[in-house]
Amino acid sequence: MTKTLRMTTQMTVDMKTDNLIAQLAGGLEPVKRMSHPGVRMLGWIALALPVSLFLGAMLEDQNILFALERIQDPSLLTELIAIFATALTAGYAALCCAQPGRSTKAWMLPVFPFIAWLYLIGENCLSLYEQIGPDQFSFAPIWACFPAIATTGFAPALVMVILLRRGVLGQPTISAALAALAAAALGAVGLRLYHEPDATVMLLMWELIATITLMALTSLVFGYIYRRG
Amino acid sequence: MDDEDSWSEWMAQAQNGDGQAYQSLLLAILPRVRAIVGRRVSDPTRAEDVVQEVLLSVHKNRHTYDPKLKFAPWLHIIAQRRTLDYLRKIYRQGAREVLVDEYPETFMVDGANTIEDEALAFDDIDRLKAAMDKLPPGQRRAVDLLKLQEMSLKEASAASGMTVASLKVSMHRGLKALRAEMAEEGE
Repeated sequence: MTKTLRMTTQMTVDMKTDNLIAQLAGGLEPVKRMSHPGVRMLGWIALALPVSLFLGAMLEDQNILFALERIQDPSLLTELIAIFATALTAGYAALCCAQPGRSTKAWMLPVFPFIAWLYLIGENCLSLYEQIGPDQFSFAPIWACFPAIATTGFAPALVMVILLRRGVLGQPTISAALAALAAAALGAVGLRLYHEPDATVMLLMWELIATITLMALTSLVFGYIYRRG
Repeated sequence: MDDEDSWSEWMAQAQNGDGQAYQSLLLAILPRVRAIVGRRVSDPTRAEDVVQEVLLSVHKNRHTYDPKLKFAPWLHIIAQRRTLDYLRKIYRQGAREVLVDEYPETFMVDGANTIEDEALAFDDIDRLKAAMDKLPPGQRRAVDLLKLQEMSLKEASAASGMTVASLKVSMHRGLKALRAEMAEEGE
């Protein structure tokens, strides 16, 4: 009796699944296929970078000529390349994570540029320490710079969130951390180009701390919200 | 061409709006989805609910599939994600709810027990089925998807093609009609 009841229940359930399949397939509409993560990443850069550069120039009250003059400095140019490479690779990896079936190892892409960025900051800190000595060297936060950091990172973060929402997040925590790193790095490009050359090391140190804090917080909060949802 | 190549091709055709290919694909992947879900959900009825959730998720996210990639890993991630979501939901419910053998008596007045009576009446499958058959098709569909299959409004909307607003209205009217029908039969 119990076995018969179980079989009947299973048959009803199977029938429901078959009905569901028939309903889903009936009146199926074509969908716009999601583009390759590389194409989406370029779209992200094209939308977010100009806004980030514009806001960086506005906040620092500078213009494009100032930026062009600054990139003549090879050390700044190297640093900008490392930051931009971090943004590109982290953005690409985040978008790969939002498309099931893509390589799960994509998260490794930004590791090298991010280490290069960290190394350059460390190097700058060391040379500053040698120049001014331990008495003048301070890690005190420059609070005035935080609005600029937040504002330049806002557009890249917003566009990235919109792009991620169109995908499926297999690993929400990693995706959120990569997206936060990408957004912070792209924002840093604008800020680094236009910010006055003084106090750059302190600014970068704090920008880096802000980036890592943002990555950790975003991945924790996003992971939590995603699991709750 | 092996099974997985066919899946990939069917999905590419489904993305272009080919319902026939899509139906073949969903039927073909069903055993694989059941196997993935079955590894974590042992109760067959509950597992089938999760399988249906996975199929809805496949439907909702079909635009994310790139035909140049293998289909099985794409399906696997979606199925695993949905199964984990389901297990988390069960875990959260378990943390909030306490199972009791017997419900404590609360009020003596008959009126206070209408919800219980209604729930008992709704437990009578034959009566419920008879009452459901009398509903207009739209209301019957809304009650079936939202209450019996426990879909969310979004999922029910995707499955039925009805808008969320019209589903809400149909379910509300359907339940009202069901209550009236069941009450009439009970008298």
